[in-house]
Amino acid sequence: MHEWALAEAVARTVEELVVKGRDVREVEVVLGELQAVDEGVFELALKELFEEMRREKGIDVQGFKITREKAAFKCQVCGHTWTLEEWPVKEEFREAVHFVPEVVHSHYSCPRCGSRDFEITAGRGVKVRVI
Amino acid sequence: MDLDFRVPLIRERLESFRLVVPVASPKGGVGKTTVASALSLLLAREGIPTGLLDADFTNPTTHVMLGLDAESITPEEEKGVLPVRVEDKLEFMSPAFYSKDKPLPLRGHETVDALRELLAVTRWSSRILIVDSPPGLSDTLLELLRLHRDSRVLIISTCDEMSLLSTKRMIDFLAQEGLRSIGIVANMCNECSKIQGRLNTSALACLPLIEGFQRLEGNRDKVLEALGTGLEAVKYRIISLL
Ligand SMILES: [Zn+2]
Repeated sequence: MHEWALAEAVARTVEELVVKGRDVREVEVVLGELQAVDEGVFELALKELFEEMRREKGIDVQGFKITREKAAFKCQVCGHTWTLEEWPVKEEFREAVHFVPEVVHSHYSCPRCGSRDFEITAGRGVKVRVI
Repeated sequence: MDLDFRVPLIRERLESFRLVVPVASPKGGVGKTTVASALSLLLAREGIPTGLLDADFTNPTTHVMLGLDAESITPEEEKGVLPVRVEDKLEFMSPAFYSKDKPLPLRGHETVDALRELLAVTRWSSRILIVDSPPGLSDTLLELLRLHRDSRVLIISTCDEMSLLSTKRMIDFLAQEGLRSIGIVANMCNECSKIQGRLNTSALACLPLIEGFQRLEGNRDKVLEALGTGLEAVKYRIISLL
């Protein structure tokens, strides 16, 4: 359950902000399509971690919402842009990309010119917005 | 302000080590991976729980030195990912477990992103972390030093003029930043006195050029046999800091 570590990172960040005096009401977590985080598992982990924070440290986060962001790519060589839906990562490499999204450059390339030198313009991995 | 959500957890994980040692070399090809691997084996076999991270994302090779097949290994998941246990006291993590020995071309910010991701999710249990970093003042080395100012850099240098000039620049950089070093390992050297003359400091260890070293790569016992004695001084220096 690698999702736990990502949720733990989110919880630590919120904790640090609160300790520094910031009023954190709600947290928005954006899950990028490329990393393919299991939303159910992630949500459960984050709920548990926030509950633990409330119980053990008196830090109360009222809520969090999870949104998703589609992945998009742009080739640095030929300028072509595409999405994951148009050009999927092969099944056998998805697990590796799930752990370290940047390794997508090893297992995937521009559908037009074949270059591995492309940019992930959206939907890489987890992002946090504090409201 | 840095709002990367991974940073607080990374700092916590790095602070859990008694010592973080980025192994750095101002130039490529001076034997950084060899020394990082041999030193890790030396410490681990001394009974010190040691972690080794290959942070050369675009060209990871430490697993080759350790005799591991990156193609067939995927680190286990458990509330994150667990480093691979190479020996009783040696745990190891490498991006090669995910890039599977294929090319991994990364632009600067992507290297930093990949490093943060790996540092955030890897659950080490060792007392010391040795980090094999890419040559030069790379994004990876700078990011690691930013994330953990208490790191103690081990500098690997050869004894030729170009390498010594590069090493001097690295020493000056660390001093100016207020960062600390463990010392210099002079590798593949016949005249370690050059270090003293040129850098005003003596090498902590001086390793000779070993003929046919390539044949030993992948054989941990042989790697340690070849370099262990030469690295004893570094081992004791590190133990004194734990
Ligand atoms: Zn292209």
